[in-house]
Amino acid sequence: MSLLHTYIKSYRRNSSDRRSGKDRRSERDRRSGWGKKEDELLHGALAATASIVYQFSRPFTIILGYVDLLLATTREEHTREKLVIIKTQLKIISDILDSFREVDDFKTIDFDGVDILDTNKLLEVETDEKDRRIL
Amino acid sequence: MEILLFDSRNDQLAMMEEILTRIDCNVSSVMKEDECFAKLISGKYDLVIFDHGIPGLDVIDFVTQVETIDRSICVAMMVTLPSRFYEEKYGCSGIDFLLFKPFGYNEITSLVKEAVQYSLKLRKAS
Repeated sequence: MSLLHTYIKSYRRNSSDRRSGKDRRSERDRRSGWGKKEDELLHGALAATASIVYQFSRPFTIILGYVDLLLATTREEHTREKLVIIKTQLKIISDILDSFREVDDFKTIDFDGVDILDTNKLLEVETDEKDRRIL
Repeated sequence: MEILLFDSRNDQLAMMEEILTRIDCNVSSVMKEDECFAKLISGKYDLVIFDHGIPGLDVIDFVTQVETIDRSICVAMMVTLPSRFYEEKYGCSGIDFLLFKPFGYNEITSLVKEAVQYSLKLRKAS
């Protein structure tokens, strides 16, 4: 079954790290910190991003589906151009939803004094195709 | 290809039905679980597409019952959460395809193409 071929990412420490007093955290872990607070923040971030993805996905699917249907049937050039613009913007939103889906680290960036979740690294990297295509 | 669509909300159902009809599929739509099983028992389907977010639906129980009725039917679930969640929870449930939202015409067409091939394999195996 195709589901079984999905690669699961995991950044949790392994059991030897927990047993040992030695700091075996990776460079990545040392950068972002690790502990109860980070776990709680990550848990909150995961809940928030999952909620956003869950709530927004259905309406965007319906809009995208009808835009595709209109593109398939409309011959008028000006209307097609506008539909392509709408579809491009929907693709951007879709990519953002993909980046929210892939959040596995709590990291924020400053936006005019307000902390916002940093998903830029996920947008810069090619979003894992498994979440855009059918498995 | 004979497709059975199952979703509790009409808006997504109508859009899916229109796209699937346009790519020459025969589509039946249902909004309740018992209607879905009644259709599966009375007709022959190649693919069942259902939504993960149907209120009150026990996904594993639903897929098990679909398999009991006809093991050769492909099963696709429309989903929203991270793939790792589905891998862990439904990896061995009998779901053949995950369709991540938001999806459009191309993704639906790809699903149908893959399901046609997979359906042939399942029919040979059964």
